[in-house]
Amino acid sequence: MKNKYLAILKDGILYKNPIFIQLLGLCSTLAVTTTVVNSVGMGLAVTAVLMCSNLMISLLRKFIPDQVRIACFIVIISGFVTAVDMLIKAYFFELSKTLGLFIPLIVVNCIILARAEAFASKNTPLPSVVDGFAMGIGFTFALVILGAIRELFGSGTLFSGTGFEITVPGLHDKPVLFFVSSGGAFITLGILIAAFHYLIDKHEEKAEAEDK
Amino acid sequence: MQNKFGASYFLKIGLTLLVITALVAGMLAAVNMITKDKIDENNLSEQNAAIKSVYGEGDIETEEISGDFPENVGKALSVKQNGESAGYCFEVNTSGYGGNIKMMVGINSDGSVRGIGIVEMSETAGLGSRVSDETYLSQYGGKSTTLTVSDIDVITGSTVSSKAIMNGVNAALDAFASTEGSDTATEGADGATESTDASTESTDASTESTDASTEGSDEE
Repeated sequence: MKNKYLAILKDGILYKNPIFIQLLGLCSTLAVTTTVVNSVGMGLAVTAVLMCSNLMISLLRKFIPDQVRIACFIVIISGFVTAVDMLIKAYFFELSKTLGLFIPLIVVNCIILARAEAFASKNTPLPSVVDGFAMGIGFTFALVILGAIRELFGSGTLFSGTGFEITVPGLHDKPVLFFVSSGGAFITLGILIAAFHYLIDKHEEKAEAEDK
Repeated sequence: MQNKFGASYFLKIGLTLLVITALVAGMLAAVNMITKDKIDENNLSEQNAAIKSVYGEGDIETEEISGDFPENVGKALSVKQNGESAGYCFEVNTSGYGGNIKMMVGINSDGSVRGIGIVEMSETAGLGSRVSDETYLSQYGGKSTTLTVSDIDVITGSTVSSKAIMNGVNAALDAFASTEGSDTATEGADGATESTDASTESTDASTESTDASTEGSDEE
């Protein structure tokens, strides 16, 4: 039983990582990852929505008629996204100023609908919540790595907007602005995807060798 | 199976959707109830902070005024600082590179720009976001004529964001011109406006039209 949840967690964060492996929800990924703080904020917002929508859809999976399931999923997802949007505006106002536009767009983020369709509508509530959590953390993990690289080279800072801001002397004065632009985001993401696949493949080969 | 597409089938689907949407709507109503006051409070304090960055310290009183303003002027406030009239402050919405930029533009009683405070923007971090820097915004201080690109130092790599701020300031100047008692200010600006017209041919259509409207109001 315990192994099942562990497998879901590993899938979400590593083997089926929404960004690096499934390449889902890239639009918001490229747009918000200019700083680490933005990445964490977006990642956690998506995680919250994913967990709530997965739970709700899993609970209602026998009640929702198959023919209108997508409509039902979208209503539930957009409801949670709007709620998260309002909560962020109320309690994390600074964050809402930078993430502003992208929070409502979580509604159309494919990760959430994909998990609803592929997992939550076929599984019981507890695994669904774990799956939502795992996928959300996998998403956040990818965003933070991308955000850290872009912030470091593009602005010469790390964790700006928090109390622990680190400024890199040479880079801060003459940042590589390319990393802040969307083109830089694409190229950074491409390199990260390649690196991630390499590591995963190596890991799997090793695991296979051990099995033999 | 014959009954599959009968009335009861559609009723069932319709009712299910109804129940789910009602559930979600109920949840949103609850969240809205909890957060509404806090959100309003945040927005107001943000606006006050922007006004403060324009007028500096001191006891500031604002009073909302109405008038025939350009479309992108959201709110017009007449400002009193330490009991004395200190001109007007306009809330302007202008579209930048990353969406709407909301800013407060303070205009002195003589029609010159007092200062600019950015309320809300989502420009690219490190590029367009630099329009909120003091070094960029301070160059608008004292300007009183409709601006064109040749009048300001545009930030390298952020032409769209820089021009958005410029258009916002122009809208505020227009709004000021349409308030009462601004005749003298616009008359003085007349000559300068024409000369900038002649010097920049690259000015886009929108700026030209605002130029025309300023001139039109001068002749009255």
